[in-house]
Amino acid sequence: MDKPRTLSRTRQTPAKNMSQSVFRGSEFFSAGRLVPILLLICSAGIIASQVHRPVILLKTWLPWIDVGCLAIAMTPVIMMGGIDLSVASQVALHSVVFGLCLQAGWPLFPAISCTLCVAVFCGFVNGGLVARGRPSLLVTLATMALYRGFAMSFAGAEPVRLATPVSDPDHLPVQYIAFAGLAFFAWLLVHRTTAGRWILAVGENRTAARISGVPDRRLDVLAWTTCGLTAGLVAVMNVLQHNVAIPDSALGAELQAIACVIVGGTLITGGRGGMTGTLLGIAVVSTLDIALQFLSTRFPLISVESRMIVTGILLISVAVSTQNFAGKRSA
Amino acid sequence: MKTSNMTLPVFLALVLAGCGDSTAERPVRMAMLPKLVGIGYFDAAETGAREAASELGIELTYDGPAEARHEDQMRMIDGWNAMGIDIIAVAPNDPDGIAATLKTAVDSGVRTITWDTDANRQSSGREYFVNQAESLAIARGMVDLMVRTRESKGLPLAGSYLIVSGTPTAANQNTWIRQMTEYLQETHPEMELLPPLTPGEDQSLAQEQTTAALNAHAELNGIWGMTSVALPAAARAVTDAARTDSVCVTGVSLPSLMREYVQNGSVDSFLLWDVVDLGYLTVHVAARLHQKTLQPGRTDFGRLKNIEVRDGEVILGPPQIFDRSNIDDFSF
Repeated sequence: MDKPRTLSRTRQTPAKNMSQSVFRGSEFFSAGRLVPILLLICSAGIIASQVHRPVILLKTWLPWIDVGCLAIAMTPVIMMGGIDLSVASQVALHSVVFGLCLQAGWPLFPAISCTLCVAVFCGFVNGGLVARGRPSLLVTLATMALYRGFAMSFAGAEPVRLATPVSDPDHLPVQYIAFAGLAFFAWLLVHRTTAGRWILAVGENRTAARISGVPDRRLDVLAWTTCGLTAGLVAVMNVLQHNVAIPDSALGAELQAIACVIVGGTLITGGRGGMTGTLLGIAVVSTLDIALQFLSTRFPLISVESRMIVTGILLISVAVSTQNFAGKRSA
Repeated sequence: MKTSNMTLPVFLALVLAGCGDSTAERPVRMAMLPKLVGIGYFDAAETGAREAASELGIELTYDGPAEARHEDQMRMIDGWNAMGIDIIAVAPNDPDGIAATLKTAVDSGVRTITWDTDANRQSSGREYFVNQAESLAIARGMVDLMVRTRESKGLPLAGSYLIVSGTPTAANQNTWIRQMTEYLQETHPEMELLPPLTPGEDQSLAQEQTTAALNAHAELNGIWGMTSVALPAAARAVTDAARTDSVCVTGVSLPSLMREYVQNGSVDSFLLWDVVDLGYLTVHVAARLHQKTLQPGRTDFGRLKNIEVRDGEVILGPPQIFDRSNIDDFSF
């Protein structure tokens, strides 16, 4: 991004510029979206042509709901120009905490409350350090290792298994409803509140935003704490679904979540983006993955190795087209 | 917008390619899911599985995650289930983690078996487990090989020993560790076990951690490598540290990965089952299950004769011991 120009423009008309950013962020059918939308349609076509038991298809997306929730929480963080690499480790840690609470015989409600308190605290540690001016990449890289380490040592490197199942494994709608609710509130927050406009302003130019009275440090704490809380929710849903808390679970989920946000058109440097894009990104990344798996049973050439290459190339092309376009518009 | 001009025809081609299949008569479709792909062990199993699939005219998909993660396995099982694959054979990375997913597959009418590693039988509802060998035979075999090696070299048994395992939650390895601990207490209480290392299915990490342990324990007597990559890693670490005279190494791995160390004398002997046969047997069991002709007792599966079928379990046979005399006879 062209720093001096952005700065001067922000100085001239901060209010007008903010409203423009919001307008851009919520614009769905822009040209930069063409590649992701095409990709989504084609992947959906492949799946539709191959599907035999459509009911199961809903379940196929279930693991992506976790990633999707994390991506939603990650969006404001990235819009502010930050990043949270620790979310996947947090999911593991909170799962173990929740699992141990239940294993100790706690009733469901106190166990959930305790887990969410731990989740808020872990997110608060990230947010607090970032608000004190530490780069979020370094902070969350450190806590990524820290939280995973806690998860492994609390669980004794063994999965925490619940003797008495607390739930029926097939409570499918709950996770989808949770996801939809989270997406709706996040959309309201980012696109319909002052805080949402502040987030974009901080991402575009933190110094300028601070001078014009945006409480950027409080926003930092809020954004990273929300990431932690979301990781806690994902962990609770996971443990309830599988009746087991696995300390080495969700490895690499943070990168998948970031990929969803980026494919959705949110600039990795902050200042541009929005929740609608992230939802599109989640849809594209998950549908593509499932479609490639469906194709690989027909064409042995699409093995895991080459599938990673294909996914990589397609995601790069999507990311390049959206990121590039967003950059051009800002200039 | 150069990208979209290029990509549009490619996507259309992919969609059209995906639309072709809607004929009524189609061969039995089977999907086989290893713990991960791209390591010698599961490549060898694929060789055997493909051999059996072409014998039986089964359309086989052999696919798995790039890293040993059960979340990826869940995704793949659900995908195959939605596609209407007839048989799914899984080597689970976590026996409980994938149980609910397997159950859904069973409930929607997919014939489900496990191979190499079992899933939780009650909660997963899997029908058969194709077992390479009884875990007790392997656990005791590993202890016996260590004792034999130390005695043949004229070294004392008393002292400390180290286990290099796979992922911390791996079911096979944890069962072996438990059974080895019990067997050692019964037969050789003077052999003490250090806490096991769990480097995952990662050879360089296993070697790093073993080297660190060798430095920390100057008095170490022996190392068991419990996965196909942990054993060569341990052998390499001991060779590099020039401690092959005092530290004996054994465990389970592939002959192709261990040839170098058996020939240079750093490893005397080790155990494994015939992995190619394991893949071969799995596909045969799956086919028999699909035809509904699988019953307890002893029976032949293709070129494998007199295989024991129990209630919910098929056993390949006793483990194979590899040493300098026979290691060149095996191709995997």
